[in-house]
Amino acid sequence: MNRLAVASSPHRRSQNSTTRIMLDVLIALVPAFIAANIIFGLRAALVTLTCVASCVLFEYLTRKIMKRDNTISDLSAAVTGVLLAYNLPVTIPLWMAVVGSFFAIVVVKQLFGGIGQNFANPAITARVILLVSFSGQMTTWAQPFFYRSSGADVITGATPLVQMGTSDMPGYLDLFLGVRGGCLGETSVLALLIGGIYLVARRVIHPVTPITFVGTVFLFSVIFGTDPVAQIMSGGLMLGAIFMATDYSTSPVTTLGKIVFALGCGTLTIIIRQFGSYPEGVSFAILFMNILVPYIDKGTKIKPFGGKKMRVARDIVKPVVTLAIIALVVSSALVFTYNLTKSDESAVSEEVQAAVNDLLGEGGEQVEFDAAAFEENKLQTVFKDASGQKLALVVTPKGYGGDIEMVVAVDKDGKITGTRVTAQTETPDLGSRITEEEFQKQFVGKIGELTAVKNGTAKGEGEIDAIAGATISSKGFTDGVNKALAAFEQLKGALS
Amino acid sequence: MSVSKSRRKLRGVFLRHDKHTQEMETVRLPMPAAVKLPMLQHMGKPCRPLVKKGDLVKVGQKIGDCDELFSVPVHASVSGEVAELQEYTAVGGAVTQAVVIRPDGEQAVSEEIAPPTVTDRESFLKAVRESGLAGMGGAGFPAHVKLGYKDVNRLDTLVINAAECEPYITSDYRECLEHTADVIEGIQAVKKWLRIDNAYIGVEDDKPAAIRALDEAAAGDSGIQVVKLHSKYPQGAEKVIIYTATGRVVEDGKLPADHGVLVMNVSSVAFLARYLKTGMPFISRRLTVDGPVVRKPQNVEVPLGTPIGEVLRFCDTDEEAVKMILMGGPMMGVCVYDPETPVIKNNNAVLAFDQKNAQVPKTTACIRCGKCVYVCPMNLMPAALEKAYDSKNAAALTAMSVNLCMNCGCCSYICPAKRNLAQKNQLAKAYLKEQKQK
Repeated sequence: MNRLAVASSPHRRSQNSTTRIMLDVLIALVPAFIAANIIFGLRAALVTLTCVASCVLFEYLTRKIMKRDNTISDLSAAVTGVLLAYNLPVTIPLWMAVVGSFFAIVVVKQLFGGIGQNFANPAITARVILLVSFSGQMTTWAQPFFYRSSGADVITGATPLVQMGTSDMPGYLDLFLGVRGGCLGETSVLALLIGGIYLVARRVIHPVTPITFVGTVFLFSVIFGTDPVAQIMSGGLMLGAIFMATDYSTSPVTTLGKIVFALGCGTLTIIIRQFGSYPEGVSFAILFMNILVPYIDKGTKIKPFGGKKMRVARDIVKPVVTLAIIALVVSSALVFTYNLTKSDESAVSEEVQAAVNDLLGEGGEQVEFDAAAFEENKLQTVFKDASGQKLALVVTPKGYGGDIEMVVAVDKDGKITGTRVTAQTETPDLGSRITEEEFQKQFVGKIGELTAVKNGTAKGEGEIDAIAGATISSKGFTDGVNKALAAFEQLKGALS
Repeated sequence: MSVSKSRRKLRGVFLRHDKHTQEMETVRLPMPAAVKLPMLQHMGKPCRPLVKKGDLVKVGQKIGDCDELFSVPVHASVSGEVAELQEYTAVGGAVTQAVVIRPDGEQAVSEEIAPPTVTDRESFLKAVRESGLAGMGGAGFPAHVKLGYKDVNRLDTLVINAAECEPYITSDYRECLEHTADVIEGIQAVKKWLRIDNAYIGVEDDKPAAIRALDEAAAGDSGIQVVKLHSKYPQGAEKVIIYTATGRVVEDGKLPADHGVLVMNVSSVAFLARYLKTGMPFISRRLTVDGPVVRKPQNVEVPLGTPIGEVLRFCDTDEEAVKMILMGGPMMGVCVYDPETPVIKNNNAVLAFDQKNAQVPKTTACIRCGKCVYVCPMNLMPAALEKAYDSKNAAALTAMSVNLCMNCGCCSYICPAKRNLAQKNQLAKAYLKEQKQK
C-alpha cells in the first residue's frame, strides 16, 4: 500500500467555492448587462469592460506588490468591476471609471485585507467617491435610446427621482423595463429581478435582505405620501437591494441581522430621497449601514442550541439601544439640516430680507396679497420699494434637488431689474451655479416670458443659456422668474 | 404501535448517501493471521493485560481489566497463543499495551462463558460492564457508566440511535434487519432494569425497510415507538436525536441523563440482548467496508483486533490506489496512518479512498457568507469561533459556547473557502481545557 495521507475530518467537502459564488453573481448580472446595452447603447459594454479590466488589474497588482497569493481567479474583482460600472452613468469618461476601480479595489478592498475583510462595499464606496468628486459627470444622465437619435439635447435627462410628481415621470411599464434615465445598470427592474431570483434559487443570497429593503422603502413612501410603486422602481434601489446590500463581507451574518440591516438601509434611503439634497440615497444608505455591521452582528447573535440563556439586559437590550441611539442621532441630524435649509414660510428670513434690501434699497415694505390666488405662482412674499417704483417677488419654484427660494425684482414697466437666490439645495458645483451672477445677469433687463435652452444655444430675446450640465436647475430658476412675472402682472397695481 | 414522524428540525446538511452496502447480508471474515487487541478501545482508562507471552487463550476469555470505573474489560476475540505484549500507539495518540494473539483456528470457547445472572439494577450494570461493551456508534463511551447514571429515578426515556446519518455506513441498518428481535429484547432489558417507561427508536426516513421491521417487532410493546427522522446529517448526533425524537434540549454542560434521557446505539443494545442470553462478551463486530477503491463493498463481521488492511484485502481493495483509510464515515471518521491498525470496539466502518478523494482542498479567505452558521445543528457561529481561536481569545470562545461543538463537520463541509472550521473548533476546545488547567 502507498504511504497513507492523513487529514482532519470531514473528509468530504461540498461543491461550493468562492469562485462558484462569484460566477453565480456574474451570471445574475447578465440580464442587466443586456438591458443596459439595449437602453443606453454599446457604450454600456465599454464602461463595464473598462471597470472589470481595471478592477482585475488593480487586484492583481496590489496582491503582487503586497506579496500575497493572487486572488483574481476567485472572480470577486470582476464582480466589483461590474457592480461599479452599473452604478455609473453611461456617459462617464472612461478615466473616471478607472479611478473608481482604483478606489474600489486598492483603497477599500485590498488595503483592508482583501476579500471578506473590507468594511464597506467597494463598488458603492467608489461610486460615492466619484459622486462627490465629479458631481457633474456623475449626474449627467443619458436619455434612454439617446444613441439612436441625433438631436441636440438628448444627452442630459433627469432620473425619475427628480421628475417624481411631474408630468415628465415615466410610466410604470417604462420603469419596470428600465426605459428611463439613470446609471447604466440600475434602470431595468425586470433584468435585476431575474438576476435576483437566480441568486436566491442558487442560494447565493438570502431573499430576506432585498425584500426587507424594498419593503421598507415602499412602506415609508406610503407614509410620506409619494408614489410607492414609482419609488421602488426608481433610482438604484433594485440594484442596491439585490446586489449590494447582500454583499457578504459588508452585511450581517444572521437572518435577524440581515433584517435589521435592510430595515436601516430602506429607512435611510427614503429619508435621503425625501429630505436630503441628493435625489438618490441608496448608495449612502448602504454605505452607512455597512459601517454599522459589526454592531448589528454583535446585537443579533443566535443562541446556541442548549447554550446559556441570553442575558436580556446585556445581550439584547444594550445593542438594540445603541443602534436606536445611532439611528436617532443620524435622523435628527438629517432633520436638523433639512430644517436649516428649508424656507420658513411665515416669517421673512434674513437672507430674503437682505436680498430684498439689495434689490430695492432700504425702506421697502411688504405688500399684502391673497395667498390662495397665487398658489400656482408659488408666491411667498411681495415687497415694494420706498418710492413705489419696483416690486420684489419671493417665489419657490422646483429645482433639481428641491425647491429654489428666489427673489425677482421687477420695475413698473415689467422689466427685470435683478434676481437673487436665497435658498437652494441643488447639486454642489453644478445646479448650485444658478446662484452665480454669470448666470443670473442674463435675466436683467428682460421683459416677458423666458425659456432656458441648452448651454450655448440661446438666441433671441426670450431665451436663456442654461448652465452646462444643470439644465433642470436652470429651467427651475427660469420657471421661478416666469412665475414672478406672471404674479407681477396682477400685483403691479400696488405701485404708484 | 405505529410509526411516528418527527417534525422537529435542526440545522444540518444534505449529503449524498452512498449506501452501496445497504442490501448486502453480513459476511464473516476468514480467520486473520494475528489479532492485536489494544488495552484501550474506548473513552476512559486503559486496562492491564491479564495474560503474558506464550499463554493459551480461548474465545471470550478476559485478557485485560482495570479497577477504574471509567473502563471496560477486553476479551480474546480468537483462540490461540499470546504471541507478544507490545506497546501500541492508538490513532488518537494514546500509548497503551496491546495483546497480540496468533489464532489456532479452533475457536474454542472459554469455560468462563455463561449467561450472567441478572436480578436487579446492580447485577445488570455489573453484567453490562463484564460484557466489555463500549458504545458501538463511534464515541465508544463505556456502557455501564452511561446506564449507571446515579439518579435512577430521573431517567424516563430511552432513545435508540439507528439514524446512521453518515454516508456509506450501513452496519447499524444491517443490525436492524438481521437482528431485529435482539434490538427489541435489548431495549426491553434496559427498560426493565433501569425502570424506564418510554423508548424511541430513531431511524432516518430513507430506511423504510428498517422502520417497517422494527415497528413490526415492537408491535406488542406499547412502550417502544419507532420515530421516523428527517434524513439530514447529522441526525444521529446525540443531542440532535434527543431533540428530534423527544423534543428535549440538552443544556450546555449537562448530560442527556440530567434531562431524563439515555441514548444507546442500536447495535449496542442488540449486542446487550445477545450477551444476556449467551454470556459471549464483545469480541467481534460488523464493519461496513466501502469507498471508491473497494471493489467489493460489503458488511463484514470482524473479530476485534483484526488489522484493517486484512479487512480491506478481503473486500478486494485496489491496494495500489489506496491513499487514505478512514475508520468511520467521511464526515467524522478518523484517518488511519498504518494499515496494520487493529479494528476496535467503536469502529463501524472502514473506508478507503484514492488520491483524488483524499485530496485536501486549498483553503482561501473567509468571505463571511454565513453558510457555516446556517448549517450548524448547535447554532454556533464557526467563522466567528475560528477568528476567536486564531486570536486565542478564551473569553470569546467561552461566550460563544465552543464546547457545544460535536465536530459533525457540517461547517467545514459547506464552507466555500474550504476552511477547516470543525478542526479549529476542536483545537479551541483543547485550548480552553488547557487554559482551565493553568
